[in-house]
Amino acid sequence: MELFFQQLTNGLAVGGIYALIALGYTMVYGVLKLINFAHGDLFTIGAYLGLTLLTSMSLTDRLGPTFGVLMLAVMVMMLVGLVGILLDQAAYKPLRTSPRLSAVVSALGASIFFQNTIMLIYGARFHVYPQDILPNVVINLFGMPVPLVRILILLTSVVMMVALYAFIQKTKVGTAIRAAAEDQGAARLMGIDVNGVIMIVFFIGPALGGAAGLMVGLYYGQVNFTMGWIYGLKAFTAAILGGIGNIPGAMVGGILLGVIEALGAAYISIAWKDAIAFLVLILILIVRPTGLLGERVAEKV
Amino acid sequence: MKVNTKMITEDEVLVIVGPQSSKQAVPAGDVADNYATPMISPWSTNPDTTKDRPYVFRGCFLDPFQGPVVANFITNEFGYTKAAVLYDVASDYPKGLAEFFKEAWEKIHGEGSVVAYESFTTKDADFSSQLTKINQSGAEVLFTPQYYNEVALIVQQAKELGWTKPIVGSDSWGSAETVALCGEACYGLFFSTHYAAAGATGKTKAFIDRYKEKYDYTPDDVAALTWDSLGIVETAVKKCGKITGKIEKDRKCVRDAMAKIEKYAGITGQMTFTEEGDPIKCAVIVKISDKGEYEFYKSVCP
Repeated sequence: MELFFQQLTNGLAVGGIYALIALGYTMVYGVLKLINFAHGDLFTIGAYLGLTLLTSMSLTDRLGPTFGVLMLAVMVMMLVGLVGILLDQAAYKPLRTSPRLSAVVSALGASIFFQNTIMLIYGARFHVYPQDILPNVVINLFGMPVPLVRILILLTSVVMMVALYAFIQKTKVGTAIRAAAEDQGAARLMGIDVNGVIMIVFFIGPALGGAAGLMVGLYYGQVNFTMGWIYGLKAFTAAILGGIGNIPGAMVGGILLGVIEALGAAYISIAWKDAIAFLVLILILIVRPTGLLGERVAEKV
Repeated sequence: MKVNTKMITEDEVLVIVGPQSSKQAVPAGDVADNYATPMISPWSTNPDTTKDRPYVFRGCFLDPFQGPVVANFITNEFGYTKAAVLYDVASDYPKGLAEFFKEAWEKIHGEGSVVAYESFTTKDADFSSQLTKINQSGAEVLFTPQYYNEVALIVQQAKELGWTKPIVGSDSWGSAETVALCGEACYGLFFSTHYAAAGATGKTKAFIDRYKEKYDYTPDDVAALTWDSLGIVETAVKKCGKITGKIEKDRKCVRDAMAKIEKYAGITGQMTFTEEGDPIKCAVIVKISDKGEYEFYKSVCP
């Protein structure tokens, strides 16, 4: 039983990160019906920007660890959000009326572009985050050693997700986003600035992805220009699992995927970790083709 | 290969030292063996280089050899009987080494003494599930034959999850990057490798000093192994006595002398060749010092 809870906490922290990245996929898909394959690289950019800002501005020295990291997170999210908007303007907007396949190819191209740019700027070697920024405290939770950072990662992701959900459900802009996701043409007729909505979506999604990148960098301590690929793939899976286009679905899917991986690794076999995760995905898609919480029939796919 | 053929047939060399990497050493070994010319590759670790080639030798140990070396080292140094292994199942080198370590460990401590045998796949960055299992398995030591970036992740996460026991690695740890990425978490850990420059004594130190004087940098594994290979050839030629000038006869004589060399005292350890032309030699155990340097700790024999 102890092993079960320990593995559960392991899975929840990783799941929180998957969920944050999955939100970016799902939001863009919801509005544009486009899989933004460059999203994993926006995550990488977040991790690298965090590293650069951290070392060049020594925020944590000036502002203390808590406020410094918070400030850093805000800056990284802003910057990655801006990169997201630029990405949309450069790679997707000109293709808005083209067949959807063109935008997908453009997304793959953007992904390669980002990866190579990061490699050229920072080099292909692994980079290390300064250590001892996050408190290396291990909390004793019901007799289990759980690193505090893992709890913080989960809490941070949950807080961001709840905030996003409230934003989408309660505010005027959120309503506009939902309307645009439902039917772009009708939304435009209702006087909603659809282009503005797309811009907001391309800001929020990448900003969350960037925050996830920063958390991974801070926690795991090392970053590499290819790191976004595997996280992007997992998060994409999570988005599908929860029902792509559906925001709570991405959160549930992400956390579920992390937990399935950890428990599968613990009780079945670690070598089969990925196979188990994808098997669950296939089974869920057979029973519910639109994913766990996906409601809309994917009529255009 | 062409160069090798030319050296053998036109330049009539007596013996060849090199090439270094397996990519060249495997085909070059084929040529050398076909022309019955002794060859020794200082650094090639691929079993095929010397396999079924009586004229081909090598100066380093093979990858699988480190398994028993590390198993012996842990047993003698710490007296532990329960070990855990964490390795990348999708990469040849760690997978092979993990298997050989397990085999050697269970030979010493009996069936089931490797209490946790956990794996992951390349590019994984979160090892908490595996390490949690290892933590709960009651293992006294963790062996992880991984590359530098994974070593850093594994060691840091293990410490975080409450692992306080030793973590031991193999020669893939021996990159300067390991300490750069891992930082203080890796201080005090051990790994096995070919040779260590820091803390060397005697003959090895003399070689390092001379090398440094001439080239202005510390010799690495390859330099040291090449030096030993040259030494072996020299010994064999001397043993042969008079060089008759009949190249075939001399080559055969040198080859036989090399095969018969016993306990050659090289700077990378003592060597005796097996029938395959692979040396039985001791590995070096390196300790990562409190300053993050790779220090010679002791030499361990299979």
